[in-house]
Amino acid sequence: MAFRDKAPMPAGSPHTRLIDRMARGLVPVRPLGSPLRRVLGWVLVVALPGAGLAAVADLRGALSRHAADPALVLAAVGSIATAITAAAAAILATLPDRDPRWALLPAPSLALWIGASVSGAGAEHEVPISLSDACACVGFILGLGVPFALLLAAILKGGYALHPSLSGGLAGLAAASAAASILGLFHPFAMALNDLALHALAVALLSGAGAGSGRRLLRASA
Amino acid sequence: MPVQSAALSGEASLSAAMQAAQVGDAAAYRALLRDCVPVISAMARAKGVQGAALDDVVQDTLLTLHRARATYDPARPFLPWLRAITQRRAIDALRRRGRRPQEVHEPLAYEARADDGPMPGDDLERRERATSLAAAIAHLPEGQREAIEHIALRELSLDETSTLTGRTKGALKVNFHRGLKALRISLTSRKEGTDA
Repeated sequence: MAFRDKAPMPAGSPHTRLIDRMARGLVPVRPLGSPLRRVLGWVLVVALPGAGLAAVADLRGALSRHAADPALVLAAVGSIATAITAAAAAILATLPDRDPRWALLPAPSLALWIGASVSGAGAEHEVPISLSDACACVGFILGLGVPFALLLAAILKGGYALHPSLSGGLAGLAAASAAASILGLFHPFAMALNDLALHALAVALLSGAGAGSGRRLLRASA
Repeated sequence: MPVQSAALSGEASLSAAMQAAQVGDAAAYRALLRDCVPVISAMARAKGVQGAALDDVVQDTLLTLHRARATYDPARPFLPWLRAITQRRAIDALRRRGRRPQEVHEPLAYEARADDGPMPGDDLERRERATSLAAAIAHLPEGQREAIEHIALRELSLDETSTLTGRTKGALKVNFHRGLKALRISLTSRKEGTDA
């Protein structure tokens, strides 16, 4: 070894005792798969319920709504891209030697999503939707987002998050974005400002819950 | 250049040892960790960690390395991976130190503040307190003593202490609370004995 002879350690030092204990209890570990493969795995599993729900959705109506409103198309592209990039950033954040700035990966798509949604909702001057409809949207995002987030957390547990709150927050954002993307198929009315605010609240809730529970969930296996 | 090639061969041997450790080679792992100790010390020192905190950072980093060993990608160099972990642990140590009371650099506050320097006998009293605490801890049963030393004095987490001592987290919690209770009784009775 290159460094061994330079600084021999005393046999009874605390470091030696710790090293001996860790070496005695060593068990083989399987190196993690590539981040790309793990992101694609999550996207594929998330796409399955998405495809199932698309089969029962009014796709023709959804397509015509999107064709009539470019802001809706941009918002959909932004939400899908945010889901994928946030999942990638969350997975990269569990690899200690990756640049922490990867956490900013979802920022451009998130900005596109927010910008397109706000401009769409603001330009149309839509009548605020009923509270029950808005709450149904929130319920949809949370209902679908929580299992998506737990699935991603299971993938993240294979790694080691040096910043578990950040990884958890990104996982929550990815899950909420994926759920909001699927919600677009079932959203039979244009986005009103109160609806948009409740969508944002649901996304923020999931991201915040991910950040809050990141330390407990991601360090539990460590 | 000879220095560069030595560094590269060091990097290659560390990487090879880590790969061997990932498949369960305990001897290679032990050698790797021993080689890492001076490297971690140097990295932590470069981040500004000094004194006794340096040993804590080395131990925290070794523990993190152990838990995170599956995240090492053999296709990538080893030292940047180790450096990222060490720097994180060094920052944690510096933050812990930063949370302790620090001197305030404010001229007015400095002028107006009453002299809170040590009174005659303070040092002696502090030493006596430390001695009696050390004696009380030394009299605890081994499990309680280890729990108090690692969790209370070294501020290690339950996970880290569990790895270090080989005890379960539940056993550590029980030992910690029993140890605190025993210390409280022991120190109180000593104080009452002194007062009397």
